[in-house]
Amino acid sequence: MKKIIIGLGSFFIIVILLGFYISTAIKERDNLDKLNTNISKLISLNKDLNIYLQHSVGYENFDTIEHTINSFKNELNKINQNKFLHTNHNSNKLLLQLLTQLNQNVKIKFDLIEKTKGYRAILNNSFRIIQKIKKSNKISKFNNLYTIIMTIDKNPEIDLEYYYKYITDKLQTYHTNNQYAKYFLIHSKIILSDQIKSLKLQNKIKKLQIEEILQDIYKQYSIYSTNSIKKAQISILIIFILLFIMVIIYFIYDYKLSLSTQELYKYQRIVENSDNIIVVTNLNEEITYVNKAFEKKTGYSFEEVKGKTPKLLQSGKGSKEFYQQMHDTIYSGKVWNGIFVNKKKNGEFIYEKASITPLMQYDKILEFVSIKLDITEEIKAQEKLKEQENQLIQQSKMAALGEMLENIAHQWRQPLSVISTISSSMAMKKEMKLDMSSDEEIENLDKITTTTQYLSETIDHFRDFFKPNKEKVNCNLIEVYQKTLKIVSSKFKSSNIELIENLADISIVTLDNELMQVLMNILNNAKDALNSTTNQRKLIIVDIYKKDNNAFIEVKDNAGGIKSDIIGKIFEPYFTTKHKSQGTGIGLYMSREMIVKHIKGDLSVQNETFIYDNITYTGAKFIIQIPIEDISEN
Amino acid sequence: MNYKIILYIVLSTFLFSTELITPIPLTIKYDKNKVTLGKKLFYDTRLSHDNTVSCANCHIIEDGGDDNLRVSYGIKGKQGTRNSPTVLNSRYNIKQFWDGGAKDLQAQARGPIHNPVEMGSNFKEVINKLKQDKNYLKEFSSIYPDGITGANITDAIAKYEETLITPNCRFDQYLRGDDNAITSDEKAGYELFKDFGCISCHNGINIGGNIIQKMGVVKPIHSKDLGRYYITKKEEDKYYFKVPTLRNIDQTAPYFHDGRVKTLRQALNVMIQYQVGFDLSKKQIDLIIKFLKTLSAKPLKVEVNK
Repeated sequence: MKKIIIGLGSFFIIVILLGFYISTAIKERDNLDKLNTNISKLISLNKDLNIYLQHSVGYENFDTIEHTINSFKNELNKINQNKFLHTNHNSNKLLLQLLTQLNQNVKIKFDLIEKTKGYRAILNNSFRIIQKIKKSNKISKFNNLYTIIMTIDKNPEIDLEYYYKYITDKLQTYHTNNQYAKYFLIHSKIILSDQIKSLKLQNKIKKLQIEEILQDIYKQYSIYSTNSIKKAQISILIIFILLFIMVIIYFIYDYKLSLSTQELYKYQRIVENSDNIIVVTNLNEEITYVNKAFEKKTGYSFEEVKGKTPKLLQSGKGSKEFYQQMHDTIYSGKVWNGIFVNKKKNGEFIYEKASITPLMQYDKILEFVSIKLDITEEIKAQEKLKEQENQLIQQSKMAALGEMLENIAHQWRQPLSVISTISSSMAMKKEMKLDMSSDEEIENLDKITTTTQYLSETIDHFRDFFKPNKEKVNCNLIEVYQKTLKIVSSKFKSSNIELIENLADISIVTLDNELMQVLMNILNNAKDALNSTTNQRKLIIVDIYKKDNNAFIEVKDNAGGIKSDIIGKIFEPYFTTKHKSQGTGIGLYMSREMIVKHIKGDLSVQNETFIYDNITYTGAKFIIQIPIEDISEN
Repeated sequence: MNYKIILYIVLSTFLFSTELITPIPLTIKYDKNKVTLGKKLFYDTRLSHDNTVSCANCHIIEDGGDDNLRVSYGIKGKQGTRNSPTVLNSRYNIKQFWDGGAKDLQAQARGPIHNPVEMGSNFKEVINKLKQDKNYLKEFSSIYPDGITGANITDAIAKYEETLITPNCRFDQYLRGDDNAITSDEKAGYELFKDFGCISCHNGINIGGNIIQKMGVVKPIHSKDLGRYYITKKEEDKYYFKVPTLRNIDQTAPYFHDGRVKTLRQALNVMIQYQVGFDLSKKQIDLIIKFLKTLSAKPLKVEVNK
């Protein structure tokens, strides 16, 4: 901004200077032109006057001379009053000196002319009279004198003083009755005396050198005029060059400005159209700018929030400490990051991931720029996801329950039938009054007791399974495996599945129930997979081992493996290969969730080809990886 | 050189033209307000010390522009030394006063106000008196930004006097081409006027008034008044006077600077005797006088504010 002002300022100064200079130059030119005219006129008028003075014979209209004198005075006055002469003292010293001299001499000359006029009038008259007398033939003498007097005007050789003295003497001694002769002598004397006086005056006028002074003035004027033109030309050239440079600078500046404006405009557009909410506040936290995203997201227009603090957006969900901490951070010149729960104009909540940056200049905070990302959708999605997950868990639990019940049923069917068989055979024997030894009776009852104990045990197992454990416990992986197996073993037996176990004795601290659920899920999947094959031998190979700081449980079957196109998807929720009635598609997803999120381990799958009893099989291998935590540390 | 020749030819036509007398213009331009004010001042006796004498006392416009006395009288009957020159056509004189002591009418107007034997006053006194007059205050301030001042008083008077011209006398009509405007006697008189050299000094628009000339060229005159000498203090300027105009000459008797003669005939004799040095017959003098009488005319009527 300063640059623009300086630029514009200097531009205008130059323009004004130029205008001023040109106007002065024009004025000076004008004055010089006038001076030129005046001087030329003076020269011409002076010549006129000189011509008048040269001719003494003949009538003269003194008005004409007076007019010429007046014109001369006028022109001289104009020169005297010419501003130019008085504004440029230094350069015109000589000119002024000449002018002063001219003024003085002209005054003298005019006085002399006035006197000359008087002599001339008489001279002319006397000339006329002696001519008249001579022509009238009233005198016969003085022929010689007459010739001399008639030529005094043209013949400068004539000794006027001599003839004047001669006539004066003659008049004193000459006595005649011819009065015309007397008139002749008197007028001749007047002519001579006035001619002498007139010539003296003319000489005096010549000595005034008015013509020479005028020529000198003209010369000085010409020199000055030429110089002034040159000076003006150079000055104007310089000013034009300056102006030209200014214009070029201006264009360069303008070009740069347009570039930077474009750049600026680009940034402005970015800011304006950014999907991020951008709010600028001053030091008093009053809003000075909001972008379109703000208006769109909050429903407030810029006009509505201008000058207000962003507090009007507060939903009341943030604590006092939260805002205090934010305030302290940004006023200490640091960037603050955090999430606001704000309220839109329509009352809806908006979650904003915000970053507030104080803009500094020389250690002074100018304003705050807050860039906020609307994460309401994400938060909502997360919530939805959590909800879904909870649903899934519920579903999986229900599925597990169903399966469990099936398992219970499966497991209980045989013992219940044992109890039923024993009790019904005993009842039948009692009815038929068949003999039944007390040993046999006790044996049967023991059998029932054992069986019911077994049933009770089974219930315990199931209960344990469902008991959610919040805390990690120390457990043995073999125990965990075997407990799981107890639940599913009945089905395995009915499916003729061979279990090949390679179990290392490893104790870890973990959530055993969840691990059991996962294991059960994997074993069930293996069983289902095997049941869908026509393999002669159905194998499940379970390996428990320890590697580095991790415990591994591998469950491998020979059901042919998982097809390569789906192997990447099996941990996704709702993915299932089973028939609708059989699978919910949440088993593996939940299993992986539990292992990864709760147990902090990993669940992976791969197809493996292996040789067992000299026969090559292919199957899926699920690997549960559990980090072994140091108990002492926990 | 060419232009010099042309210049000479052009000048020659002026210098040696047959008529050396030019007619007075029939109309003139003037500032009505100034002339009105000037006229008022011209007739105002307050310009004199005892409120008895105005310019018009010695310059009776309708009667030749002079006072028809040998010499003029000022306040308290004080007698002056010179004959009142006519104010008519005075604008065409190169200088004013008999001795040419005033370069223009403005300078002239200053003289009588301060002259003890004329108005015997001064600007301070006059201005104070005029300032008592509301009309003057109003008029002056409407014309001159600086109101009533000595220079403005004389300027207004001069502006009025500039309108005092007598155009279209019979001789002017003759000069303008009306051959019957003057009689053959008058024409003969004019020829004599030229022939005897009167025209040497009495020429131009005012038939005089354009040079300072010696009184007593041919033989010395007796005069107490030394004329121009009083102005220049130069011995050579003794007995030099401004050549008076011959316009309205038959109305401006007595004649000469000291009013020494009462009639035109006497004046003509004096002139012939002292200036020309030649004897003229009575008939010749009669003819010249006839001619001189054709130079009279009524002053131009100038409109002024009521």
